[in-house]
Amino acid sequence: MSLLEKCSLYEAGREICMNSYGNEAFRNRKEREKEERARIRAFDKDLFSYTGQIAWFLAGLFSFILLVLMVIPVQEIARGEGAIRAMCIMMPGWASYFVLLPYVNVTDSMTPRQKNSGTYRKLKYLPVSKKQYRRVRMTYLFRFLWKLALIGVVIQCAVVAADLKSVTVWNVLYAIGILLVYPLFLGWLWLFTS
Amino acid sequence: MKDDILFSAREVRSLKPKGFGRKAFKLENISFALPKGYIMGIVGKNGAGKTTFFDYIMDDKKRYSGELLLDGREIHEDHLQTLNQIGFVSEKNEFLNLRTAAQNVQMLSRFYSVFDKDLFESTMESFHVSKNKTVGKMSRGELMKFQLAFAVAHKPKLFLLDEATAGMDPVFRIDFYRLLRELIQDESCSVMLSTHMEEEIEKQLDYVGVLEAGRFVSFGEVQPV
Repeated sequence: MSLLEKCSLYEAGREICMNSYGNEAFRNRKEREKEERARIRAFDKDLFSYTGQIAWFLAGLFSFILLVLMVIPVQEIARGEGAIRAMCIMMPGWASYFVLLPYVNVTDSMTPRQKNSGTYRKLKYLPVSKKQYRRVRMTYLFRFLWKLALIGVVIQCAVVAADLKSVTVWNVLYAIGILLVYPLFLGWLWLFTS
Repeated sequence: MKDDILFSAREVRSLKPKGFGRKAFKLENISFALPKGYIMGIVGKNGAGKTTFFDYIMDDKKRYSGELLLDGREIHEDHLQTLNQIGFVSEKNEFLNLRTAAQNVQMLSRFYSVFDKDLFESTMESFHVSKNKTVGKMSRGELMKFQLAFAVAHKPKLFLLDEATAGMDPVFRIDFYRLLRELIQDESCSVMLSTHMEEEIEKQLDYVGVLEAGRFVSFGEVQPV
């Protein structure tokens, strides 16, 4: 066997070893992260049973208002009053806030001036990854918002089809933007800064 | 000093000072080694940097030069693993105040790879603190005992106790050190604590490091008087 053949054989073997080792490490890391997320979700389940009901009601209320706003075509909103536009900016923020609230804040005392703490502060000295903590919370928000966005797109398109007889791409983008992208961004911003 | 070092710091220096201008505070020249099976005290005046040093171990956002090694591995290399191996007791240690000690354990113990609930309960019993007491209603001493029971139950390699004995009555303090001695007896773990109390330094500690304005001015074995 020539030296060149030996070298190429060595390189190929080395590559296979590196790949299998890298894949193994990657798989282990992924599995560990998955376990971490499962633990965080189990913790959240206990946490939610205690504080979540009012926040969920308010999240539902603001989402309902948002769906009602979807009855107004984006073409009307562009021409229409500032108050509606302001509502379109504020409501997604409130909906996103109340979906995340039971998981991001915990009540610390039942005094007349209730003191709240960030949930992550409670987990700061425990082996909990902040990255996975945020990821789990973003998943909650996404699961809530994609259904809302889907209903919103249907309402917006149905109303526009009935009223203006032509659905544009802007109607779909508007519903997705207001009900999914914008509140997701606000939630991410809150989680990142809290 | 034994060769079997559990925790060591080598020329640790803060990269980002705490505060601004003349009030800026940073750790400098922290070097020591703590063998397995010993109790080390960090002493110093208020504001000397004892709690800040513990923050450097517990918080992976803190940036420093030098080395902090736990069992031969840099602590921030895999910080979750490090936190798994440290039992932290501090005033700052946050628990869910509206829940009982038992509920806190049920919710928080799942994050540790090992957590012995029976050991937690027996330690709480030996401390005469009810596991059904709400954490927010515990006195400072009770809270420290609860935290110590929690730390003991996840079987860490290193116990970090930040001013843990400050709120304890003198009778319990004796039991507390007896428990620490029992924990380190098999030389599988060590204790690092910060304290102000002279009596503790002389009678209870094996090693002592003196911090002054963020600098380690001395470190060595405690000599019996």
